[in-house]
Amino acid sequence: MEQLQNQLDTFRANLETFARQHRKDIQKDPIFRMHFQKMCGNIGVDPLASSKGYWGELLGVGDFYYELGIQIIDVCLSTRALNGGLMELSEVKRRVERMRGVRDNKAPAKSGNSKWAGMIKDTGMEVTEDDVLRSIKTLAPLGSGFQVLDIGNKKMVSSVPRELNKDQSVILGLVQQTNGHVNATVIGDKLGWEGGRIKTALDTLLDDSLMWIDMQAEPHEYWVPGFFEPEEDDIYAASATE
Amino acid sequence: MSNTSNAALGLGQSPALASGFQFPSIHNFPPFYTLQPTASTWKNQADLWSTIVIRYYRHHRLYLLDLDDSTITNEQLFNNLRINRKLKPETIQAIVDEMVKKGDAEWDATSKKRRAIIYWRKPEDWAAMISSWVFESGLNNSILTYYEIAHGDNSEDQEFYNIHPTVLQKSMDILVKRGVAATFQGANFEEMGVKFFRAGA
Repeated sequence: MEQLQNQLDTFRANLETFARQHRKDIQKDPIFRMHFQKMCGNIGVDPLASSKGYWGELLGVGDFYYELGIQIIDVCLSTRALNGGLMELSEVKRRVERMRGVRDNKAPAKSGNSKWAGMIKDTGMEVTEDDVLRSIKTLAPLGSGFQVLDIGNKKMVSSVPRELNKDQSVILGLVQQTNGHVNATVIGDKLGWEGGRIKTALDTLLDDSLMWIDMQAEPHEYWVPGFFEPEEDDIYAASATE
Repeated sequence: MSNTSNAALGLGQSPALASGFQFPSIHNFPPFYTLQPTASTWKNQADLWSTIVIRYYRHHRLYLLDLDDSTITNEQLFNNLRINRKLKPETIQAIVDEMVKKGDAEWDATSKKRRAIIYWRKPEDWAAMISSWVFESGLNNSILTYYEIAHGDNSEDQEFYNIHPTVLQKSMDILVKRGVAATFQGANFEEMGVKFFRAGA
């Protein structure tokens, strides 16, 4: 038993040395960061538990996730007006990276000069979806109401304290397969629900600002704005009285 | 006022589209043309529409929103041919009502909510702009006509060139009220005169 403890201590000491030496890589390289996280997890160390803790200070990783957390909050709040506070994880990641100065993959490169493209990409500010998930977890104690929901086959970041009921979740999942919009007929066909149940679910989704209705379509079409965009603009973040 | 996030998020007009107006993607969102029944959603929708209207009017240097004038300008703004959706007049009225509350627009009182001035600059800002132009160009020694301000050779490169008469009058009223200028009756609106005493609008 004592031997095991010694081994573990040695291992921790090595891990510390390793972490100190690779502090930069941990901060900048998302793959490296992920492997380091796994390594720490194996011996029961969570360097992200607090930015004030020993590990946090040693590595500055606490700062990394703290900064990322602020950026996630910023992205979610600035788009809440449109999407009702529900956003795909991949979209949160994309917007956070743009905020951090990472070149947007969706935007075509202006010049074909691969040397430059490579240099711009190498800003070390990329994050992984895993980073975003971890960061959201660290936001939880703040009572922020931030949580990650599994809807359909996607992970969605919710920035509003809420509980989606089963029917709401199922419809949101269905909408992922129908280009971001749906109507009562389609829901009836696909899910076999009767009219009253469909109407109730859609009405509550409107009430929660998760859906917008298009009454110029027949039958009325219900849209999830979070699934609609994302083009290269950000009027959602702009105040109307600029 | 809150331009900070705009620049960071790439809101600036693309140079390639300098002559045309680039609508944000929500302009292609079909439900954007239905007045949303959920109050909080409608509030956000109205804010987004106000922002678009103000930017569109600023871009094209327009001043008057006229619900009975379905030519060119409003057509592009409120009628999206690409997705075959358009705002109903009563929805436009509701949007303008919201803009009026924030001082971004003003109904023509005689028009029964058919015509409104869109303030992509506040009258105070126009007043300050005109006043500093007058002093910087040394035009403060003589009486200027409204025509010279709005359409004169000297003001051709100014943002207030071709300013709407109502907006011009409002701006002048502000300057008179502050005691920095006096206006003189003319034979018609364009021959109205104004004399500036001091800068500091």
